[in-house]
Amino acid sequence: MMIDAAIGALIQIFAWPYFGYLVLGSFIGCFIGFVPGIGGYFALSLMIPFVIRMDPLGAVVLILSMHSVVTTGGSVTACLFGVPGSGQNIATVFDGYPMTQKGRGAEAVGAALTASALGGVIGAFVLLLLIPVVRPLVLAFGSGEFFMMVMVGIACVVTMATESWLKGFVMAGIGFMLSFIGQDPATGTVRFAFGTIYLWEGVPLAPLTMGKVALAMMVVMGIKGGTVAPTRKTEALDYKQLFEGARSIFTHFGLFLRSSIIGVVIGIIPGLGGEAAALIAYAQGKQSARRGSEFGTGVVEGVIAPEAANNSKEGGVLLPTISFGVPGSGLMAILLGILIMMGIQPGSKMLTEYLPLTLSMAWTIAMSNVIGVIIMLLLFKIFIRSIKLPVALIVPLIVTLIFVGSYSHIFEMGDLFVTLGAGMLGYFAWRKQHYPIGPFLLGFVLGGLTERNYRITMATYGSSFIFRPISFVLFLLFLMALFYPVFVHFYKKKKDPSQSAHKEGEAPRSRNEALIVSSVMVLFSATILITTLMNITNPIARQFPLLVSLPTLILCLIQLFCEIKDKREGSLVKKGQTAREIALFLWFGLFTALIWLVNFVVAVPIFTYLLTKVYFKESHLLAITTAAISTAAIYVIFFRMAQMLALGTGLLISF
Amino acid sequence: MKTKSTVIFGTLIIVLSVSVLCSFPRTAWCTAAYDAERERAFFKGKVVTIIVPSKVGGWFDTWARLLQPAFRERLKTTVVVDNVPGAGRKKAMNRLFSARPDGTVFGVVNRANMITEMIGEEGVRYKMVEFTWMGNTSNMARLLFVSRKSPYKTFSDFINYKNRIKVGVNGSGSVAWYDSIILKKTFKKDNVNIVSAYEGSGDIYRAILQGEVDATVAVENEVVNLPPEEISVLLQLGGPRGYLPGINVPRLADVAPPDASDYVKLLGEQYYMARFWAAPPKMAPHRAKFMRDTFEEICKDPKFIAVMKKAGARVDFTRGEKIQEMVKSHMNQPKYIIDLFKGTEAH
Repeated sequence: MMIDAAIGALIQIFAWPYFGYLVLGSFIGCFIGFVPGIGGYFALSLMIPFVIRMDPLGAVVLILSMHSVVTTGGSVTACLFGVPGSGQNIATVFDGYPMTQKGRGAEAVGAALTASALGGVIGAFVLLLLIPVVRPLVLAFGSGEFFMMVMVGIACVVTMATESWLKGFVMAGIGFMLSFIGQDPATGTVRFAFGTIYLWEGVPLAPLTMGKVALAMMVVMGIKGGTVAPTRKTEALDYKQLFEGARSIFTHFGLFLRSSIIGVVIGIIPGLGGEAAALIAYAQGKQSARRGSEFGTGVVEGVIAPEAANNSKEGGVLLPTISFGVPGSGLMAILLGILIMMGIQPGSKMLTEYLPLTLSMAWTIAMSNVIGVIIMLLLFKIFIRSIKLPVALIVPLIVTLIFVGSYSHIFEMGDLFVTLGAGMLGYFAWRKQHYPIGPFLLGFVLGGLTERNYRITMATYGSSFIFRPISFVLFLLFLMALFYPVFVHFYKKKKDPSQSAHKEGEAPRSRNEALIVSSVMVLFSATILITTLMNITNPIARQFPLLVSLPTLILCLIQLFCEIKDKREGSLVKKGQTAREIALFLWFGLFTALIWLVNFVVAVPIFTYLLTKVYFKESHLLAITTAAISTAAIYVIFFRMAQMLALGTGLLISF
Repeated sequence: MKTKSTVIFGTLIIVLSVSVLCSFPRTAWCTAAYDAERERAFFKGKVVTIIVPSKVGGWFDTWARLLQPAFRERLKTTVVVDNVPGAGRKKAMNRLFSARPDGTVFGVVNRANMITEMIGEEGVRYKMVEFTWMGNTSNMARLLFVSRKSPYKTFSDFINYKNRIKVGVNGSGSVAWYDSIILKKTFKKDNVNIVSAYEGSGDIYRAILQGEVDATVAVENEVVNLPPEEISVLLQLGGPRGYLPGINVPRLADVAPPDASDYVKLLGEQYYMARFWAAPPKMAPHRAKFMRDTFEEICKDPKFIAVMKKAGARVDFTRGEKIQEMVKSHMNQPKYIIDLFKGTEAH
């Protein structure tokens, strides 16, 4: 009967108009994912007035097809421009962009798209298989089990830090400490808001990742100059590489399958999100793949792992959403809201009365992933040509989109400051001083969840939770994830002592910069520690910050000491490069100030024109072209279509 | 000369007085008679913003989005929903409080923000009694429920239970959090532990079914959709007796001890404040009347009621003037209740 229902649901979504919604939703989702700054959350909220007038099946097909392929579109931007189209594509940047820089962008795109499509299909099939047992499955995982799963994720920090344990753990600690900013969910104590109401909800994820990864990459690109990537010889070579990339899924099928399963499992944990799925899959890929030690230099396995996970997780995310109305992500919360508006209450009825609708959801995820990839492949020529465009045209446009994307989160100037600050941290710490970014992101994404689940677990089960069967198995996995990479790393190093930590293509070390970056980290850790000791009196609220800030401060001090002792100066440090880097950040600061003063719509043409003309020293015509494209994009898409009227509000000029 | 300057001076005084008095919006003799069409014409070409103190997808957001087309139809202008989550909904309240009081901005208010103002929480830059209240669009009782597998079959079992009782709530400062504290104090239940930091009502429901926590307090339209074979409602907080179909449980007012009358009144008032809407302070009386009339018209429209019913929500309209009085009373709590909310149990 279940099989009949499943087949019936599949046939239904191929019927008109549902197939039309499927294609339309997939197209919109790919576009949203491809253009940095728009984001699935924003797009879904735009669709609400339209979908609530549709029938439930039509609404679900449109929404889910759009949502399921955002990361597919974002993977292309991540690979070709080093800018994650969505937060879940962060890990794809680590190897996708270096592949483009080596002239293998088409291969990266081929691998990313194929991994996305097949990962999404696997996620959908797992969902279909688990529907009959979803409730007992979700009920088997309580807060204790969630806590241990998050801890397994945290243990992946070790894997991400194998090039430099000290820097890796410092970054993880910094990420954790940033996650503690805001109101403690258990006690309501406001921590580290420093008198601002803005920080009550904590440091927002989207602006942080946009800054740390995307803005930092724009600086790299801006300093490099020229075109986005080396110009290709022939188009035929591009297509050959595209198919090589697609085929690589099958030559690394074990990695792909493991990553897909990780994505589904992580999707089941409420609140964990696609960023964590991609990062953890990346970490396991780094651990298990044959070329794991080359992750970060531009290997195709580093693209396959995160892309498979961030699409397969959609199947997992739907499980708690439909069975208990527990949204697995912020986007699922919107879907829930839409279902409620249409009179469909998520819960046990989704598995009985509304079973055909639930099955249609699974098929929609599967089909939209396939259709999304077809759409992106049809547009492949445009994408691959775009990397031949001059950096002077691309950087101002993408920086504009980054800033709009950050600001459109909640329309607060604070988000732009976060993006700017994160951009500086990302560029100087990650790109230049080789502090690994993976541990930072894992610490930030998982820090709050760790604390939340730990609190609930201690309040409900106490420390005996560890003896619950699933928790115990996860505890063993945690230990394995913690110690196995250490063992493998030292074993490999013993076998081949010539392994070098320096990555090809990264900027050479500047001693002064190294000292400054280390000092800033010491200062930050010390501030958190002192603030905890002096300002936070609630013992529950201060527990985690103390647990993290003290050891992190010690590690930061050790790192600073090592930098002081290391008197080497990179011989390839280009003269005047530091000045150009700082100048670019000053330009971004000027853009921020302009936005505050005269609003986005006015600031964008001024900034983009001046950046192209003055900083990049390009022609008047190119500067005007850049300004025109950027302004049109902001005005038409965000201000008019999306009705983001706050973009037209500034201190001096508003409309 | 003297007479001429006196006349000029006198005229100036009179003109100035008239213009000053006319600039005060509540001076009745200076304003024209109320004209709904003129009020509606004001909105032409303007954008009306509905502020929601949460992210897209929650119940407040659902209400705002379902009201959006209804307002658009009646005001004949663009109406947008502005989600302003953050800082315990204070950002939204602050923004609403400081917005232009011309009818182009209004928003939904969470009654937990009344408590945050009462206890003088940091970051509060609004005064509930000064808002221009539009109305309340839904009265909803809150219900205490447990798993069917729990040892408590009635409220009496629950109250007399001697072992530890874990009540699950989402973050501190939520309505469920305050409800739980009040219940604990009303019945002097020191063995009740409030477990907070759950992700939302769905997460708490999962935890109840797993036995991770024992009970929670939730709003009626969430509870009535849960499978009756899985949960058991023990107590109704607020609302008339027996008005919920299929749920025949004692009300707090019926079982609370005599010395808990203030708590009962507090929770009872909250029944009438499930979805209430406010606009910035000092709105002109004609504009306020027009907005309240529009709200009332929408809430009595069978088409709108049907849409809300489909979404699982009841529509009961109480006009803003009555809410204005209710808020004044609600904000005037005895000191010991305010201290309770400020105390260690609260945070």
